Amino acid sequence: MTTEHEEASLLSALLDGELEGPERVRLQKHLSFCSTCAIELESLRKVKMVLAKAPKKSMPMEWIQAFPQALTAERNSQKNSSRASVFSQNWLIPALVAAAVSFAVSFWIFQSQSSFPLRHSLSLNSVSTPVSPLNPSSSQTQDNTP
Amino acid sequence: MIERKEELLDPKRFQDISEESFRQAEFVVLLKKNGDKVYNFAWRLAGNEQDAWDLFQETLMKAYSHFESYDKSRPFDSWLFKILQNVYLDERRRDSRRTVASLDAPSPISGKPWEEILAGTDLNPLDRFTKEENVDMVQKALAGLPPLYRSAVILCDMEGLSYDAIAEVMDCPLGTVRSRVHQARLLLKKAFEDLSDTFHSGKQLQ
Ligand SMILES: [Zn+2]
Repeated sequence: MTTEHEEASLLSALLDGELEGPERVRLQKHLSFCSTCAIELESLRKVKMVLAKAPKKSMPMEWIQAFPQALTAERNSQKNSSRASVFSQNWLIPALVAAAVSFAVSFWIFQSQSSFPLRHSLSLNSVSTPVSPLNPSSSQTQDNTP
Repeated sequence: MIERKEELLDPKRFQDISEESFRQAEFVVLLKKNGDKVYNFAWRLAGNEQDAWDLFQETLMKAYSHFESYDKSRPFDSWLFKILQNVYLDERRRDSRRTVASLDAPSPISGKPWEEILAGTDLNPLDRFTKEENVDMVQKALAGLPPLYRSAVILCDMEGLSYDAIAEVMDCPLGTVRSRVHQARLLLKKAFEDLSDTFHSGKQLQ
């Protein structure tokens, strides 16, 4: 048995349940007679508790609902620049428009209980927090039907 | 009508589109299951909703574009945490206006060097916080940490990840995780004390 303190970060490891075997036994033994380390462990526990109990934020659901559409828009804009020939197909544009319209309608129905406006414009550059109270003016509704 | 449409569609292209839809659906299912944790990590890491929002979006776009490389036997949340952390660090490196906090730099908590802050370890004023004070204090205290310490302690104490999982997210050895988590807690403890003192002395003045 030694009166020397253990490596301090072992206290955090013990607290996190990440200390096993002889290291754990040795530290627990040390803690049974070293009040300095016992107090330190207690204060680390309090910090951990404060963080664990801190409120959490959820991701904005309406954006996740519209994520596939955002990806399609992103993909199309990339294709538009690199593979413009895809858009020479006559069927593709009406098909995309029809898909976008049906998606928008079903999404609108799905979201109709919510008070959030439907957001279409979700490309990387144009999106800002739609529900953020810090940024209420940003949630402009854009319609992607031409 | 449907028959005519099918005639027009090139089968190969039709297959591409449905594969893409399937991929998107798969991604969204995983995202719905894991997104809250990842968004919360973004919020705590970035410190405010606007930055968290940007960070989260860029992470999702990046994740989706590398979705093929995601190993489905591994947890999806850890994979997203890792991408998010890398996006965050890249942004910080790019952003020359911000100076990256290091152990050598003066602490933004109280303007004192980190060593000095780490030295003092008495009292525990955390009990003095009310719930509302806590929200603000936690965010402020986290903002004062060097980014890698902040990441480690958020993942450990707020997201409940094991050291193993954190090591994977942060691409570092277990010992480094342990040390980062521990140092972060020491700094947070000091930050809580400072913020609490400021808060309560401010209250007395009013
Ligand atoms: Zn000791």
